Amino acid sequence: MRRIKKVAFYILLLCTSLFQFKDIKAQELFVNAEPASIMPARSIMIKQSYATMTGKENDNNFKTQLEFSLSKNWMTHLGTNYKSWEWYTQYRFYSKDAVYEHLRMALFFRAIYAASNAIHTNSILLEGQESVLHSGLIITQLKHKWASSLTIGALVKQDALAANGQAGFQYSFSNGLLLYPKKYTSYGQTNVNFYIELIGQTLFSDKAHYLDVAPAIQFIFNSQSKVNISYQLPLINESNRLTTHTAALSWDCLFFNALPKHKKKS
Amino acid sequence: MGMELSKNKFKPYSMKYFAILIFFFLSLSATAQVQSVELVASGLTCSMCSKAIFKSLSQLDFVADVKVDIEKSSYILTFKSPEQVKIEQIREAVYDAGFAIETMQMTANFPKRKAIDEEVVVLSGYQFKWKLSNVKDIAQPQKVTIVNKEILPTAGFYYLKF
Repeated sequence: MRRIKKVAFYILLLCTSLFQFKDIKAQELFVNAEPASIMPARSIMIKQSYATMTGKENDNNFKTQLEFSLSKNWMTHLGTNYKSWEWYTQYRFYSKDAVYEHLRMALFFRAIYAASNAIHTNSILLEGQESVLHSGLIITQLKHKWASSLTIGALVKQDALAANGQAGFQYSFSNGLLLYPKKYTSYGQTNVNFYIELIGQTLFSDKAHYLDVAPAIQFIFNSQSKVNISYQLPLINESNRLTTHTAALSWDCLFFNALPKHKKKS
Repeated sequence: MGMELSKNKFKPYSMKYFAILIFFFLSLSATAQVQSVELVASGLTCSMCSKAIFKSLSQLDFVADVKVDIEKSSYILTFKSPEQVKIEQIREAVYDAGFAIETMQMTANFPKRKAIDEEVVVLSGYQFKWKLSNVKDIAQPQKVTIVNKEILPTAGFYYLKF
């Protein structure tokens, strides 16, 4: 508990000190969570990530993902880490925009199919180690200097053999801001963003739960391509998951107007 | 005989061409057209979002150029041919990028020098209506605001104010 207080104090200190700077802009291109916003309609994103996970055991995760935005409100992802497959879809159903701010809400569903559900822990693993269904709600608010996003979802492990942890809650709370540039002058400027995300899981059938914090730094090149570096570590860990710390490096590139426009019948 | 025939044939043609020519010059001087559209998008702060709107507007086939101010989220559009301006498509392009429109202004040559409330103005094939509390003088060209926030339903009017 003392550790949580200590970490919470440093996060608060960092946030308040960053607020002292004028002209700070919020950023919601989160590294460890999806915002309720959808990619621009008819765009495609290619994402490549590498994560090294440590704890009781060590593991690596090399993941390739293709993301499609089918309309302004609907997107879908297909991903693989070459041991499992993942399908994700998200629909934005609420959007209220004003200058430099918005409130958006979206529903999501994802299915992870793993060839073998070999690991049995009292947590649900979401990096392709086991087959899982995951669905929930995302609420994102962007207001001048601050972008926050809350994701709440239910998880069901698709493994009849698992004694514990067959269903649970997954939640995350993400915050982000722009560190550089202070003033936008062109799309060619490299942007540097800072994120702090809280990621937690609680199981229905067990008292097992965890809450991780994941600070991340992001570089955006040419307003089109991103490089993300994040480190996820536990604040609370009341589970026997095999890995607890994750260092991740990812790259993605967005291709605007890549899909053909559906012509309306006149 | 042959000469007379050709003369008779030539006369009505020359009258017709002359009339067309007159009508052409008259229509040129009287054509009321949209020169540029300036919009401020809402719901964004990042340059990647701004680029999404820029790309969405740039791909419209009637748009010649898009000038951007990323800080202000403002975009100025000029057109290949003023007759082909499609306001609905401009709006849709911003919404497709995932954002909304805060304000939309246009600079145009108006057919009249006075703006009267509820009077209809035809510009680039669109029917606009003035929404004013009193009569105003129109400059040439004049920058006005399109009042309607959303994409216009068919057979509706776009309202204009100063």
